[in-house]
Amino acid sequence: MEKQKVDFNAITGIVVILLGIIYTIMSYSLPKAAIGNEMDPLYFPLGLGILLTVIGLILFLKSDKAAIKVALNSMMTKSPKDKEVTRMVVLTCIAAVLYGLLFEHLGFIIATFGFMMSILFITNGKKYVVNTAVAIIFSVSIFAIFNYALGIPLPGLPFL
Amino acid sequence: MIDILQNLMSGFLIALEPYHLFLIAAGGILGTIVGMLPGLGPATGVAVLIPITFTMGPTAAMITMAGIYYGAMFGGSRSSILINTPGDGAALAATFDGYPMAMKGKAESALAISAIASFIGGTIAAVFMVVLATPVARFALKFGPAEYFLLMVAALSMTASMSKGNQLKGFISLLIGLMIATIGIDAQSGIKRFTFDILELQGGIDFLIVIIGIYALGEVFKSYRSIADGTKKAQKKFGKIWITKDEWKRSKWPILRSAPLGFIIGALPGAGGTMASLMSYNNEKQLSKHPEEFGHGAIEGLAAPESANNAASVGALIPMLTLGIPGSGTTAVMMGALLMLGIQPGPLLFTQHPDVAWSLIASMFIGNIILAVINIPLAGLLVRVLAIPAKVLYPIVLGLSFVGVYAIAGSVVDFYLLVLFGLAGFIMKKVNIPTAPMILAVIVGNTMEQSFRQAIRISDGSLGIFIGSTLAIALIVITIVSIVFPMIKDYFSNKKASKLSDVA
Repeated sequence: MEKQKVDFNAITGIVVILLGIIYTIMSYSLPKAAIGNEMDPLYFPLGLGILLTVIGLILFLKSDKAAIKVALNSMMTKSPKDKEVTRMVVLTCIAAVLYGLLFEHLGFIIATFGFMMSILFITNGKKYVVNTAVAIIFSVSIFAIFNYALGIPLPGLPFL
Repeated sequence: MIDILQNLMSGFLIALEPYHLFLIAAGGILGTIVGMLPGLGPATGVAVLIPITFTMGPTAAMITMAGIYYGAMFGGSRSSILINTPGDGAALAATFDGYPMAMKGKAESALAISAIASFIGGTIAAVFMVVLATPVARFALKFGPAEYFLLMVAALSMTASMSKGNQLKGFISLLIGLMIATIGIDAQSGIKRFTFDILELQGGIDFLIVIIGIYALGEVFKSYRSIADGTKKAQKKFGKIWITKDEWKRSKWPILRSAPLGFIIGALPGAGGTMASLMSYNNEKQLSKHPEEFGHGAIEGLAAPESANNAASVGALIPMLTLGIPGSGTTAVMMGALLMLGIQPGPLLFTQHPDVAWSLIASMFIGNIILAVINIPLAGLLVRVLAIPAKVLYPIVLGLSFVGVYAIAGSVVDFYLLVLFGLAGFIMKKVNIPTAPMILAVIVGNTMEQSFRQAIRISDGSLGIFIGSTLAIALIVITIVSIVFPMIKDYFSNKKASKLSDVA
């Protein structure tokens, strides 16, 4: 329950201000248009950047600055459950990036089988029989549906 | 009027032929299945299934497409309700209360009300279509670039203000969404903006990736918490797919109110189902006696956008059929198919090919009935998705998300974007920033900027064009009210609260 009381507003405000400033600077340094008004493609992004900075500033000014310390503390010290969740999220992201890197080389079926196995391992643990069955059925049936029924080509098996 | 009815009757006769009935039903079922896959909303669904229609005559093709279109709309909200993964923008609002309902063990009512609301919304809109096709087309012509821009500003600020006591963060979310929309090659000057020299970013980021990342991946990440806790139990018992009398009483008016709203917004080119469903959701939340229940499984919060969404899908056909301007991605695809068949949509369609136009309108009525009839038993099967334990269901949702994203553009770069948006959604949830404004902003951002610049160009650089018509002024007033009204409400409720605490 304690978790609910942590107030991230001040920190959010700071992050949003930074985001706004970076975006504004990047907008300003965009190449100028060759035809028409050279600033034309810049106005809209510039406006967005400035507005975001202002709103971030308002959020920061209205927020309870004493909460920064508490919020930072809560980010540092985590309950074991939170650590577990963070670990699962990080592992999922790593698996997804590997999936992307291998997708076009191994083809859909093999890459997806590997990806599903790793995700199921993260969530379902070491129940290899169930995991393997789900991963095989998923990758083969989705491949069949997309490739043959819908006519959306997915990369097939390598070396074929 | 008499000849309209006469035309409609002959349209019905064509649409009711057994072969055409079969096409509507088959298209509807196929569309529902495709619409349920994340990332494959109505637009992709119609595009993917269009080759089926190539061998048919124009009337049969149009009727089949209407079936697919409707089916995909139904299907999109199925996955919103069951696994919190909208198939497209228009099904987004169905996640707000539909998914909480499913989590509370009321998936049966949720699926039933969504089918009922879609049916009623679609039917009312089809009646409007018959009567109003011509006048609405004329009204839509009044929307110049300036009015479009203001319409989008109004819709966005309404969505951002919707998050109560959280307005600032709603606007933060909104602005970030608009920033995401600026990524890619600028259509008017050809300048690359924020592409970081990545080839795949030049075409911009497809809003479906943002939606799937934030909703589907966000949901998977959220589910990790309950998996770690070991709390979430799969639903084992399923009731009948129907609603109670009380639930009907609560949803009746929202459904009826949202249908005309959805129809009108749908008829505006470029606005479409997403804006219609979000606006009707906001509307009902403002009107409701229990606004605090919204977002926690209020049945009105599902019924209203579902009605509006289907009404909008009918409305969106108006500019396409009568003006030759497609109002949404899906109607654009349908128009492409019509052109391939040698039919030019536009004002002349109704005189040159009355059989095509009117049998399409008639098949909307029939398609609605058929889809409601097939969807209720189909929902009985689909709801069993919830019987799959979370530990196995969420990996499957994750897998489907990646395939769906790959199907959009056939590029793996989108996988990394998907992960990025999934993480962004996870963090936004943590610091309590609403995600809906951002998604709507990503969807309309590009058109919004283009209309803004067109308007400025028309007026030769003067901002006066934004107060140049009554319509524009009305839209500005709506925007201001939507921003200021929640502030005033907050101020007064704070004052009351502090008075109470003073007394205490």
